Amino acid sequence: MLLVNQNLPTKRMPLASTDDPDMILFQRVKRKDRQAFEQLFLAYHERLYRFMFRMLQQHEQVDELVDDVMLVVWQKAGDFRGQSKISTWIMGIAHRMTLKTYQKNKKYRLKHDSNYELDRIPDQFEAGPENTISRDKVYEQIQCGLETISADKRSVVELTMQGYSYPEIAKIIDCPVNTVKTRMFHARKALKVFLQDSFSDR
Amino acid sequence: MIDTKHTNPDSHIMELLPWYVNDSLSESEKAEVDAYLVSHPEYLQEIELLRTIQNTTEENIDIPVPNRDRLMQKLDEIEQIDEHSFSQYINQLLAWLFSPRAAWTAIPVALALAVVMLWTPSQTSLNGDFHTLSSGDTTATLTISITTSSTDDASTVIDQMHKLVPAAKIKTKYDNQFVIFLSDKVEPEETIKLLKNLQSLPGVKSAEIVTTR
Repeated sequence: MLLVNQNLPTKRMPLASTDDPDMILFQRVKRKDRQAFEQLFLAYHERLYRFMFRMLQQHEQVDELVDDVMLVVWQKAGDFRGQSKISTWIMGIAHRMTLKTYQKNKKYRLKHDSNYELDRIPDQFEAGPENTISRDKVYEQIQCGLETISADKRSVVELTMQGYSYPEIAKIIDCPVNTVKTRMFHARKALKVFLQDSFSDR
Repeated sequence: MIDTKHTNPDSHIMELLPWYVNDSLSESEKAEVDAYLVSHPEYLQEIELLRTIQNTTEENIDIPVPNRDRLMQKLDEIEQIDEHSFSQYINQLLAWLFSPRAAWTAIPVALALAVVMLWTPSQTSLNGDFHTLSSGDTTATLTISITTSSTDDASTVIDQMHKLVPAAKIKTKYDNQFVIFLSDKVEPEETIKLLKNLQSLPGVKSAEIVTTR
């Protein structure tokens, strides 16, 4: 099933448009309208939470981080020059903050959990391919695979799977479109390793 | 990066596949991938892999109810901090202004200003520019040069000028040219009005401010 969500980005990457309802809301936020800010928060909460949780896997941390992203939006609203859609700009902020937290978490886990690297090896390598691979198992394997790839590649995977087009991702993560494609290519190659058994049997 | 579209069509299609799956390709790119898949069915497995990844990322996440109150509370805290920093900045500025360091800075600045003011010419030729009297002045004594069209007009013009500005001293320079001195200070608006009146007198060819003091 494809992920089709009206809240998610469109196929093209238009610049900020005055017809965009988010833009109208954002203009009010720029003028420090607290009510508009609340509405913007509600409109973006799920999208931000989903992306951040996929990256960080920690509810409490993500819950706080979504607030932090919105507070940055409030403070930096005046800096927005309309060179992208509002959603792209907000996701760019979310991406940078998530990446920072992701690196911090990783450092913390490596420092405090000596078995962390070992834990990430999927069971399939221990149990052998003859095991029946359930949906949960595939999910687990993909999660393990995502843990092994770099944060940069992972965020490209997550944003792609959330329905962002590659020019939009390029804007969000602030890199050329070709870099987005390359990161996705390598990420997919790495994930394939984790899923090879489930796919080689088909 | 090398353009894979022309160098390696396989890589190019492989690059597009994730966005083919998430349905965010342009129509032409989508058609390109569709056409390629017909001749290369082995790529269907790749698509299946991507769909599996996508499905797992769509897994239900328990997204909590957005906590508006908490956010607004954080916003209040931030704004309080901002206000505090602003008042701190003002306090620091005031403290600096009344410090000996500020005095040492003020002395050379004041000296520089004094030099600039002294060097500004006290007499400015205005050439009829009514709006610029000597810089910063609100009043000024002035000299106006009048030229009449002919010598015959001169006496008539002088009579009219006496009526118009009884306090003025009039000095004849040539037969058709004379100068009016106004020793009392005159407001700029009055000067402009006077000058316009002089210019509108019959027989006056030109009337312009020569100096202000």
